[in-house]
Amino acid sequence: MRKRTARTAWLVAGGIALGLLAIGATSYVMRLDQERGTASVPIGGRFELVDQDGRVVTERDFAGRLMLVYFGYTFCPDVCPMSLQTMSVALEQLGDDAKEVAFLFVTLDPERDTVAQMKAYVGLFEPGPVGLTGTAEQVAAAARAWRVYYRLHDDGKDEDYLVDHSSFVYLMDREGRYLAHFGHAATPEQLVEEIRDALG
Amino acid sequence: MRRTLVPCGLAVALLAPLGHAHAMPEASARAETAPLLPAPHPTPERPVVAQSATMAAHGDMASFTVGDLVIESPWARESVTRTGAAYLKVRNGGDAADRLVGVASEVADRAALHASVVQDGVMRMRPVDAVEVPAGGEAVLEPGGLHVMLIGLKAPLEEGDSFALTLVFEDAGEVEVVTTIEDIAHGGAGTGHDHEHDH
Repeated sequence: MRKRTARTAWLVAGGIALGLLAIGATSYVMRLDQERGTASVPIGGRFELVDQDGRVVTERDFAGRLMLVYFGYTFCPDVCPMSLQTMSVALEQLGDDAKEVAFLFVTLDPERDTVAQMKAYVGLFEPGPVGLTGTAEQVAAAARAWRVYYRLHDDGKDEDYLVDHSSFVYLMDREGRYLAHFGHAATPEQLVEEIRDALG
Repeated sequence: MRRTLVPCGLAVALLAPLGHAHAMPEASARAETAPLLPAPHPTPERPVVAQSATMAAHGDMASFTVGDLVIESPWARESVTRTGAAYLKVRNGGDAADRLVGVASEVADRAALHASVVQDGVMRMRPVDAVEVPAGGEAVLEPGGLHVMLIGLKAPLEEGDSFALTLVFEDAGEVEVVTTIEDIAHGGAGTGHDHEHDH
């Protein structure tokens, strides 16, 4: 009678301990997911878009360099300029190594973000990104590849509509494969650290 | 009794992480409500500013008063699109709370109070009816949070220029503040503007 009580108690205790370990592990993984780190689904891939000079651009144009990518839209007055600024500062901090990194800004709002609009916008940043736009289908394909959520609140009545979108900075390796992503509150230092790791 | 206890214990242990994962984005939940209720700060130990809507100094130190409120350093980012964002700080030196309930400007078709809210990585901008300015406290409109959204800019906002922005407070009334246009980097990383709160 007493032996079975003891064993039961141990089993319950063991179960609780496992549970606590699992909670700890989950929090750790989720914190990484929120701020920076790995994704559990494939991210990135092929794309065909148009840059701010009207040239067709694909992922092959960046092969051999790391890519730092942000998806947003130029009519976003607050978070998008901040994220691009963080990326720009990170590249400044990299110094000579910055030439190993391609800085990309892909619009989720190609109807308003024309080639001319992208050109004016990316020119505000120093260093500034390659601004990528295209047809709605081309942009949707790129967003799909990067698992970017976006929703245009375009009801056709208001030309000044807003766009909800996932706001992450993506770091891709020299073959265009996903390495890491950063939340909107990431600092340039965090980006630099991850980039230097990737440059080896 | 014992036979049910063990499986129950194991079930709880295995299901607990799921419950935790579901409850995880506390920070994001905080972010969604936080912008509307800034934490009160103690009244600064400074002499009361003059009761007039005049510009007290240049650039970053510009301030304007209306009633018990002091509006500090209004600025906007340069813009080449039809939208812009303006930011400022309001300090309430009085005994009663006030609320910023309206904004207007000649530079755009419309101006409105908005909050940028990022939850689970998704960024949304939402209109805000009013911003509380607690008695003896302050309200901060800054990048990544509350801001004045300028919609339908009539011309690009160029760095170095400035424009008039009208703020409407529930009790203190209207005040026109001169808003300086800064470059795209202003208020962001690497410009020495450190945010003291987490997003």
